[in-house]
Amino acid sequence: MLAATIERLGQDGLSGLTVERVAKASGVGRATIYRRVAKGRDELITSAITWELGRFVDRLRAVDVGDGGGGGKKGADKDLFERLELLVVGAVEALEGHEVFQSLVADDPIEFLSEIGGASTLVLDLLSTEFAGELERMGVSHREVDWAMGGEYLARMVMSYVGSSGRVSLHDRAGVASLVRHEFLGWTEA
Amino acid sequence: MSKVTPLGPDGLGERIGFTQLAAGEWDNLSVERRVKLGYVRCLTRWGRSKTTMADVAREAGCSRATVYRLVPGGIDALFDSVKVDQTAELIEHLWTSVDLTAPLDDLLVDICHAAACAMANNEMLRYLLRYEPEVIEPHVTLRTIEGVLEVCGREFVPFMSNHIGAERADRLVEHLVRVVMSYVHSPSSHIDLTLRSDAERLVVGFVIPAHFDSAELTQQHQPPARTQEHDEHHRRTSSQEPV
Repeated sequence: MLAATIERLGQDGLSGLTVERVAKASGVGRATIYRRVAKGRDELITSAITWELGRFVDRLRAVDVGDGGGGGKKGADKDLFERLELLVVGAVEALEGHEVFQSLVADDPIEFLSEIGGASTLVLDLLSTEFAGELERMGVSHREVDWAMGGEYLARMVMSYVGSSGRVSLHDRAGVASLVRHEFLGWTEA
Repeated sequence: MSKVTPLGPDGLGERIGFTQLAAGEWDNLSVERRVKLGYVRCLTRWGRSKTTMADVAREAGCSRATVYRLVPGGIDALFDSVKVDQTAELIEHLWTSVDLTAPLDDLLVDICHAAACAMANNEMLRYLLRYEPEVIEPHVTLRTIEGVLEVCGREFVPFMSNHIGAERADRLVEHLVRVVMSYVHSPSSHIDLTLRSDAERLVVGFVIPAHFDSAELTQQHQPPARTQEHDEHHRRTSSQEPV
């Protein structure tokens, strides 16, 4: 049902999506959908977008586990710099390649953002916890910065730089490496 | 520690967004300026989704036709234009409220602190952050941050270039803008930029090491530990209704 909603969002946009179309695409009845999302269309959209964002974060986490692009090293063996580089590159590619996301952003950005507002905070919390754990695992230490604070800072910067383009090109591997080494992790070497 | 001058009503005139008007100044504004500031007034009262071009026209004291003639791109174009203007007004306030002769690390802290305080005290932003945070969401694309980066770059990069060169200044200014926007938009339990001690922790702890070797700074600086001020502030604000 959620996957069908995402699919229909890509085709119909936020304003064109209806419960009927989702029901038809998912092969269930309208009543079935309303039993699961009592508030109807709006709750369905919010649930689907939250679900899809969760899948996106899981794909980013999977960058750590895989060994693609790391010269054959397993995720756990890569240092934090390398893993963040891979994560940023992966996130940019995933965002740009996500047709539904791109079409929603292009067609009705403000309404789309109002739908994902809470989910955006959820993603920030998820990534903050993830990075705090990484900093602790890697034994990163700093005079006055604890892992939670450092993890949150990293999550904010990743979301900001990946979410909206700036002066540093994220399609250029050297640019990503420089961003990670300085803006993201420069503090760990202070 | 450098002195930061707060942005606040001076008892005369009116503050509209980041714009401070003297008493009677509104009547002498151009129509275009009244349209833009009228829109800011509307945003402060009703937010973006409930404000129409008719509302803006009424507030500006002109016809809808005039508003459309001045802003042919409609209300979205008006919002983008006002965003740029208000960012420039905020920067104007920052220029006059911080000590530009302070050591660079102090200056960076003061700019972040002053910007966060000005944004926290801005009625338009307070309304939007409370009821329509997606309008100024800084973490997801949609041009939210690009216009702000452009204005801040134009204003701050030349000044910073005198200290560290153009390319480094470009990245430093962008980094600062992203940091301030993120922590102001999405409150953190670790950092409250309206507290100078927290602004110092963030800037000295994270931003400065990204762009400088410690030897480059004219003044050695250690980030302060989490202070009693921070903890008391959080105890007070956590029990209050969010703004």
